[in-house]
Amino acid sequence: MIVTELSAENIRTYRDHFPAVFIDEIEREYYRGLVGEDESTHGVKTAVFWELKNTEDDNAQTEAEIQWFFAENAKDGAALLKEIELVPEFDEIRRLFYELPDLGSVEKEALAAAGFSAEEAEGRDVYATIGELSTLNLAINKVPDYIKPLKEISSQQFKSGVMTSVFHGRYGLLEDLPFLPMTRFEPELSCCMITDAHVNGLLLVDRQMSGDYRVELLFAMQPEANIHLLQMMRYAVRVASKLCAPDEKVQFRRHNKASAQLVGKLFPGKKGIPVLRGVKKCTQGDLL
Amino acid sequence: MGETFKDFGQMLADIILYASTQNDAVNYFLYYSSIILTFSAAVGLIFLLILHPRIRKRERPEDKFMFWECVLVLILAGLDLFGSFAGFLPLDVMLFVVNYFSIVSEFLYMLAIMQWMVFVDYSLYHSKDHIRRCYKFAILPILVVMGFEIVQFITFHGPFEITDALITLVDVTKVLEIVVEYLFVLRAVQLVVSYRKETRQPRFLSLGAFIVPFIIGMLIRSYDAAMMAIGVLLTCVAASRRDWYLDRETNFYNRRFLQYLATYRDRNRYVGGNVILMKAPGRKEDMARILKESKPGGSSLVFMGDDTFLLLSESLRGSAVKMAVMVFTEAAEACDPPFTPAFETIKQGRNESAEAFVVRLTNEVENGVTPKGVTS
Repeated sequence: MIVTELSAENIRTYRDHFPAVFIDEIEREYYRGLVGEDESTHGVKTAVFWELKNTEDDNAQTEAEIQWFFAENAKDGAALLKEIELVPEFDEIRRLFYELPDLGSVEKEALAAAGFSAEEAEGRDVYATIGELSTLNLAINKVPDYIKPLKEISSQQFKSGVMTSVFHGRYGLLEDLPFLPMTRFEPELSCCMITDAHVNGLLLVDRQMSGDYRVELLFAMQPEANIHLLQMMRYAVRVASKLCAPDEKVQFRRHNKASAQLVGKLFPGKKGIPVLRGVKKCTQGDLL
Repeated sequence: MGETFKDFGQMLADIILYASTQNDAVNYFLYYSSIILTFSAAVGLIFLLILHPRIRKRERPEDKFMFWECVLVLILAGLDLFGSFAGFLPLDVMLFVVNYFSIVSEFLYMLAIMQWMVFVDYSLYHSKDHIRRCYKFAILPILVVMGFEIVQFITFHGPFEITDALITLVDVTKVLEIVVEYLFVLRAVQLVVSYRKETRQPRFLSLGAFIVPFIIGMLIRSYDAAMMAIGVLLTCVAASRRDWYLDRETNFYNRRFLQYLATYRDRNRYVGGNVILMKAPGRKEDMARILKESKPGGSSLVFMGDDTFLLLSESLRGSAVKMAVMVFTEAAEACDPPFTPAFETIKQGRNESAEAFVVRLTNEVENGVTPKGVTS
């Protein structure tokens, strides 16, 4: 099998074999991808994308999360997964993990063969429809005029707001937030809080390849940050109610304690979707 | 012995309730000492208004807040002094004037506490929008209480019979006034407590400088105007300490602040710190303007002299540094004429104290080390 590391330059060659969203994602700072081709036919037999996490965080170990994985057969899939460990920056990675819904049996077998654990579990992502969000109490009150949609601010203002967020260590779901353009985010659903002529809060929403919306950053400066967060959510829910169909879904990822508490308050009793979750611990001794 | 304690307790209660005690010596002492205190404090406020450069110029919002606070309390002190000498008026006129002035004084008293609370809030967060939003209706409780006071005034001085209901109204109004005053004070305390939980930045406020005199003034009502004035003076002195650490030209912090911050952080055992060092030779004003406009919210800037600036942060990932460098560089290149500042990141070591870090940082700046440009 020929293994090729994917990059912005070569990814279009393989675009028929994985979701189109990865054509953009591969250009992101911490996104990586590998594709395995048949030596004779050059047909794609397996492909994997992963994202590096905590690369700059001195207080946490560097990890890699598999974002998407496909294999025609378990043997080639396992071989490709092991190739991840040969990528040079793998020296830094201490843990390789995945949490994926709807994995096929071939992929499951490949992961097991590559040394990953597997358990069926409740996923970290909670989904709510636009219709459900509209019925929440937070949709009722008026939104103050210091909350503006993303489309009404300039790129410079956006960068300033992102800079404020990252200077406070707030990256949301996006390890590479400082490098992402404003155009990535939904211009009408995403919003910001402008106080004292500065962007001091951001709610960034992105549309996933599944068509669902995902909240990727929710940040506001003190004082009264919690009130401002609520106001931005109110705004987003109101706009979503007008622009989106009631059955369209929004994904809330419970990636830390604060987000888990927020989701718990907004949607008490709502559970995450079933996923297959697994991990492979890496030490320097595991390197081939 | 029991009788002595009872008399003493009664005297204290009379003092707190602003009534004359049974002891003439105590009454005279309270009367004259309150005049002396109020007069001295008023003179202090006048000197502050005339001589304090920041309050005189009122360029910054916190200086404006403090200016109006001083004016309010000065008027309060003036009314108090006038009331003390109102004895030369005919009795019925004196009663009318004293009661009228007491309504105005009470209004000013509550307003002064509210203004102090607003000053505390602004001193912590420096957000005018937040002040406008939060305190838009803060005066309403004061106006409601004043409504009660005016009703009492009209009833006492009008052709109405003084009934038990009216006496009760008087008592309720007094209680409401105290509740409103304490709520403002508690709000200020709550702001400072929240601030300490949210951030590790030092604050140049001393709540005790106002609250202690305020409580004394509440307990000894003869002293309330004087204690309010003393509280404002002490608050101003405490807040003015920050000016010692500010560079007059840029209004950023100066070198002295680094040492103060280091001591503060070591004392509180805060660890981790990063600095982006920026040099813009010959373009100090432009760089200062860019940093004021583009700096990340809640961060601190230090002007080291020689066109060198520092941006302080508790923790800084490489991507955040890159972003700051990119934003500042873009802004500098958009200037006329354009220029390119140089940047370097200096990190505090894991086991390095803040004091040692500041010494190292200052050495690097003073030895004229040229920043390497964008760090990766």
